[in-house]
Amino acid sequence: MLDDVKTGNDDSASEEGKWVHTACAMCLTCPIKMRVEGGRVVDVRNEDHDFLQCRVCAKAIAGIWGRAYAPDRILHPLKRVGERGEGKLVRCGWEEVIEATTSKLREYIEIGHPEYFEIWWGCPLQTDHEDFLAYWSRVVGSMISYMHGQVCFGDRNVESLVSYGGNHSYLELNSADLPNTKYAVLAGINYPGTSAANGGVVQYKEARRRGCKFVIIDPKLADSSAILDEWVPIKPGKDGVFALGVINLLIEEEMYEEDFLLKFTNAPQLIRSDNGIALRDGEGRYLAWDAASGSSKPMLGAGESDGLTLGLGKVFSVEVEGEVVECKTALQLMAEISSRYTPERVIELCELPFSADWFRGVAENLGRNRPAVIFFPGFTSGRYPNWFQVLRCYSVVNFLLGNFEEPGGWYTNKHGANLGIHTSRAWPRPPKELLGPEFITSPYNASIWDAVPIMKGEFNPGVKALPWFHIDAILEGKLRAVLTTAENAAYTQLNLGRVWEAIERLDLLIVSDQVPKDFVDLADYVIPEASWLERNMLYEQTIRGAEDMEHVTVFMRGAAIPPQGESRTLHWFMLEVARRLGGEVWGHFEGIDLEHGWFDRILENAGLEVTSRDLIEKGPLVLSYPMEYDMSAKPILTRSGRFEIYSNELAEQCYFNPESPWRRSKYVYPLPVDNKIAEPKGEDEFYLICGKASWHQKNATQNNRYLMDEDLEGDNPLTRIYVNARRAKELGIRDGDLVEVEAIGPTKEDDPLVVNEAVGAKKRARIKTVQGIHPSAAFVFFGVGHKSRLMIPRAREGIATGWFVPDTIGPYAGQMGKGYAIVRIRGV
Amino acid sequence: MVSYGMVFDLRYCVRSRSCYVACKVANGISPSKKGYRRLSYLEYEEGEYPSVLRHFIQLPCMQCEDPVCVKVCPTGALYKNDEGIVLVDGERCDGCGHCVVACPYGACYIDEERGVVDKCDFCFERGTRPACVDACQSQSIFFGDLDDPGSEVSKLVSSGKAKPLLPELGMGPKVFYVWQEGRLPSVGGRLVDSWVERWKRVHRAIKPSG
Repeated sequence: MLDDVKTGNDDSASEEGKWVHTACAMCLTCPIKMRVEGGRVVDVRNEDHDFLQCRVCAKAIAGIWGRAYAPDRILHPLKRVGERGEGKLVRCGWEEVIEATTSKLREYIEIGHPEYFEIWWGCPLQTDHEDFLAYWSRVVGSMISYMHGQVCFGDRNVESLVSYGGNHSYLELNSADLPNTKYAVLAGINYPGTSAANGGVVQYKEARRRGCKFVIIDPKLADSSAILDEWVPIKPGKDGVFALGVINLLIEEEMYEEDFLLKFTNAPQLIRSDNGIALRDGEGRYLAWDAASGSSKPMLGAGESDGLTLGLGKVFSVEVEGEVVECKTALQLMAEISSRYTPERVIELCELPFSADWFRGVAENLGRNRPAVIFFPGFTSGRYPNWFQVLRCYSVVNFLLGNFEEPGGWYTNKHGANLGIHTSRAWPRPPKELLGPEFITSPYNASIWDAVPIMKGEFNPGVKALPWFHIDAILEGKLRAVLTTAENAAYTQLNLGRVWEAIERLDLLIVSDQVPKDFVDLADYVIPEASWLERNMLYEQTIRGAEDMEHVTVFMRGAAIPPQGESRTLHWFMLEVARRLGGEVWGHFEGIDLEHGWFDRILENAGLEVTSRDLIEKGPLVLSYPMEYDMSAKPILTRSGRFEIYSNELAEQCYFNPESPWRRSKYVYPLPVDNKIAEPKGEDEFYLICGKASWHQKNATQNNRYLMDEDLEGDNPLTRIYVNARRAKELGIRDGDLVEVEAIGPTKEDDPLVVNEAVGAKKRARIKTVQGIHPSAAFVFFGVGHKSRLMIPRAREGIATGWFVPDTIGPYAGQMGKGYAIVRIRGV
Repeated sequence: MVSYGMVFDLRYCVRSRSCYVACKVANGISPSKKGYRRLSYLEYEEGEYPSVLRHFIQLPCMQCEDPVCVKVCPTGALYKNDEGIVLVDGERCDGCGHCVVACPYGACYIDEERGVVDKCDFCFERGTRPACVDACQSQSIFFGDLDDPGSEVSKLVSSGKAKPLLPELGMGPKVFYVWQEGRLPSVGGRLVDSWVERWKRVHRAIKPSG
């Protein structure tokens, strides 16, 4: 019987007219509450805490009335009757889908290859029970991958490990102590519109009220960041140059925090001048120069600086095994690299329409206002193959500014992580007892296609997934069936021509979702998944607001209504499959309670005297602590134990490692450098760049009538391609004209990191001529250009950049060059 | 006597579009029909690359003290209540569209399925505050009684920080804006341009053939 398993499918917590405490899943999980009458949501509000002020935004409202209640909501299991991609689907029964999945798994298990089956999951804030899905995979022996994660922020994560040793990670701007910031330079982010969640807008307002100046570096003036003070139209791919120019001026003008550099970075570390390799003593300790004794000594641990020197302008002679070796400090080597990036050269290379003095002014504003300044490379990552080094350049700027754990700089929350809400494994059986591969201990890096290259040392463990290996595996017949949830690889991945080719080869594709999308068209079976209003999940966020406090907020996304139609939670489906596999497999799932018990175990592990039901009925649990600026709160787990300007990991693991596939690659040079990307050359050639409107975030906001309402867009028509007005005029193209956009590069010849080209992709779109875009760029919004005829017609207009971007593989950090496309634009 | 008004503090508006979506859902307006909106946006660029500003303002109904839409309405469907809100009596409206052309703020639109005009009424039936006020991400929309000197709207208006649009038309709009410093845009001119375009569209539609 399908209802035997205790999944609590009807365990929606609402009673008539009662508020259910829950959380939005349309972007970054704001705690909200909903009221239900007559079985329908009738009202949605923010939670009452002053600091939360998470007003229910356009995405949340549209996520209810434009998604959960969408007229084209998928309410029944479907099966394909046409060709893959035709979108010809008919209703079928749950039994058929469950049996198709189970029999395929059984087939693979019997031939000794359960890894032929893989789960692809989407954003951790939107996926149903990703930790359970990992447990499921570990028991059954299938694979699981955060396929989308690498496109999103995988290389950011690697850089935070390489440069900061996990002590710091400013993936999002809520890592900035913005209420106390005086000057903020932000790159490639539609701020504050896309950072409003969870107190972000409160922080912005307070920063403004206190006089903070905001500068935005972006090839295009984005819809929300147009409210900021200054727009810097940078040529795509030149962000590293900009940062190196800032480094040059900060060092030249001595606008750096010497004490911070000496205590917390490896600026004083000695590097051999002859071969660029770090100096170590007989015990393997990294060496620095001791100014007091005039000799080298082991570099002290973080927090100490006695006798250390930055060594700028100096060469040190050190005796090594009877030989005198010339050395320089890491900071001196950095200074030599950055000295090539004078203000004049930065202006020229970045094609900035400003003077060199203007650039000096930006560096001076950062330097003179330090450490209450922010220099931010943007949310998400990997726009171009050089992006890992771009992030490294940005980090060194921040090191020089000494803006860590100081008011107005970068701040790491101190208390929330201790609860372990997001890391505590609620698995009923310890991982070592389970049947599947041991490297599955979480939903991340949990596929052989990710884990093996990481275990070989070819990629840093911080990568989220290595999608190209999965696509290769499908094409080679080593990955044969995929079940996907909260994810649209048919749109979000890169080099989509190849992705679709791979999907064609699958034995079985099961797509779990609520509304039509490209991936649904390709599916053999479609699971009507319960929406975010219809299922439970546990979260913890630290929200700081404007009062210098850490409000650790533990909350449930409580089901407000039961799953609509025949829809069910994905975890119910997975349990049904497990039950049919039976035997030892089912033994690991029997009696499991995924609605409350799973979360209650995590809450108990955290030492909290509250249950998941309490949180749904009464609202978030908030534990408040004053902010504490403290560099020693977390260890710095780099090889030197300090923030690294010269990365010992990159040097030893990659650049100088004869076994590494990245040996001598400039993309893993131990010091941050700029690596050029291919450039448009012809009169009608552009970089094709992509960005998100404030009201479109990810898969969840797609195919939503409210969010695709034309009148909502104002002067930002979502389906147009944006081109600089002067360039359009030179090409004889007017606003509104129909143009053909064709991918012409980068090719393998243009860029050695290109693995599979996307040349030849073509699409038509209407032009919008604007003043607010760099002349070399042509911009399209994310979230349009879909292929599925089942989607809103307007969603199919415009251009999906994924078809135009080739596969590039960033060495070691795995950045995917998601913004890297060169196109020709011609009128039709 | 109560006289409701609104202030949009554009210094803190982050342009999230939450006001728009909240309005649509709260008032049951279709998201799929162009032009069906009680709240519209006027958004445009000013300047030349690279010195570019993008202006953005919300345009609900201004709930004018002396509303031209009420004056031109031939059936009396449009009227002002004793709280200063301009309402539509759907039973009386014949969908003639005079108000659509007459209003310089573009507040009115014709719901062609129902054959009547629709417009912002400060969420009159909701009974509390307008949905846009509740949804504003940055809490930068204020709503209250302009006749109450203690209300936030009154304070912003009386301080001189909040100003109306096209006050020179003499209709006494009761929606005000606080501009970003240094960003006083040419909105008035743009509004007039839109107004003229609406008039021209109607004029073309009724122009005799031959």
